[in-house]
Amino acid sequence: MSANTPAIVVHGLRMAYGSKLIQEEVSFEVAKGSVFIIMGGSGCGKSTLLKHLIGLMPPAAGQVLYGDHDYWLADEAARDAIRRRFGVLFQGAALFSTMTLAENVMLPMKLNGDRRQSAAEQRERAETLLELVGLSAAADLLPNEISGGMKKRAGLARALALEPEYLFLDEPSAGLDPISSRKLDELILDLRERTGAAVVVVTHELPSLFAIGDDGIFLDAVSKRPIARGAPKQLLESCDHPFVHAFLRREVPPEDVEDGRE
Amino acid sequence: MSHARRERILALAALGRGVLARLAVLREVSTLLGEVILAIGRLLRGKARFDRADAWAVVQASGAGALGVVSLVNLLVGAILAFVGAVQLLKFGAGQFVADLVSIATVREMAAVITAVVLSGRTGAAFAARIATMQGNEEVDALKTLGVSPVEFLVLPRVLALTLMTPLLYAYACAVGLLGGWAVSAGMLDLSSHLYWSRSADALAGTHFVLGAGKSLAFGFLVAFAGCFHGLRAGRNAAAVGEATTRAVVSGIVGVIVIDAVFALCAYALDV
Repeated sequence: MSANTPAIVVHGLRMAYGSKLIQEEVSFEVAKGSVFIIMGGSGCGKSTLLKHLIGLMPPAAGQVLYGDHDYWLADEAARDAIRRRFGVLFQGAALFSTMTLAENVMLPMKLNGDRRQSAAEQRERAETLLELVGLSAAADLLPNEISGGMKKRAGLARALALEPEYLFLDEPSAGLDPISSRKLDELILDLRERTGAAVVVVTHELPSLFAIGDDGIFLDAVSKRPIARGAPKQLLESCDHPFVHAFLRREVPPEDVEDGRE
Repeated sequence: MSHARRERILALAALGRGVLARLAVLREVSTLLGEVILAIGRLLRGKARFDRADAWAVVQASGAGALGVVSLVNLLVGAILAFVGAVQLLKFGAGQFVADLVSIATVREMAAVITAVVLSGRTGAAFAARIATMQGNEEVDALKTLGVSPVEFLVLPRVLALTLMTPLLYAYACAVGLLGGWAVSAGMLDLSSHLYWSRSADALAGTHFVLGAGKSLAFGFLVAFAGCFHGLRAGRNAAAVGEATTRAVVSGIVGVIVIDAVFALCAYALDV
């Protein structure tokens, strides 16, 4: 992959649950070392789009390319190789409840990491990552013994376990207090700088998307198509679509624009 | 279109939808069964990926962890068999045949069936609840993004653990059931211990144990499979966990009775 090649290319994606269309004509590119925001109102298909990107849901049509490889046309071995370069933070963190935080972070290393790495080395790396997200003191706690914000950070540490080239974060700051949310934003920017990963974030938290977004796409629940493309700050200044305009300014849109949207 | 004709068409459409829905479930069952068989193949080749600590915990929970309830239920069932048998047999002065009744019924049928029903309500329900909760918490999705098959990681250890533990629990249940029968025989019929145990030994044949153990192997697989299947099919909300658990228990118990009937027919046909 050359330096100018986008890390992720989505082309003509059509997403549907059976006969129910979610979104169509979704196309965008995510540059290496950038934070790409998937925006939109509730129920527009943001998390569904993420599921298509991380291989959990096949598209009805269209392509998802990682480098030169179309994920959904690749054979299982090639998909496996692509997946090993993923780091995913799920909306609810998805920590394994019977494992401690350290064990959760070590799991990707055990399953997909360097086989020569000993258990002690894995533990050491897990502790380093937990320290990075400010959870070094909680390494031996179970997920049900920590707060929602701590779970998110532990989920992020697990997502970073294999030094991913592609980092996917689903609503990372949802449900967090403003200070924790701000810290998480700073952590994401820090990771982008340090790892050079392509970061895809699903969020509708305005402070977060303005703080971290380099580029983005705005999905619409009514037309079932993207209605805006660009960095959130740029969209705030220049996008003239009334719903995007109202959304990014946290305003109530005119009734005819709001109709059909949640 | 007349009202009656419209009603008939609607009823036919509902029937069609019902049949299609059941066919879809059958397809899902076949798919999971195939995946479990492939996962067993990978396990035998040393390529299956699962958490050994979790697998060991499942073995302990579904084996040793079930001893208490298996003991209590089978002890009482053995005692009930002896009590019901004694009331009838005493009328003919054939009280000593209680030992034959209890031993054959326990070893051939009751120990295997009652243990499987207990496991369905206990372990099968626990499997369904655990996996359904993991679905709701996106833990199953997290496994998939790690390139790990949920069937290998979650279903395989559970199915193997319960399939292997159930025959052991069955053997233990036989002993406890016979003990329950002995307690009633000794207390109610004044049957000597020596006579009870010697009549039991005479009445039992190796085929009774083979049949009981074979059934318990099938029951263990079925109960674990039903629990995992309904857990994996669960929706992503709190109510879905309850629904998955109920379905796992109901289908587990119904399946156990159906398989038992099939075994009974086969045993009859083979004159075992």
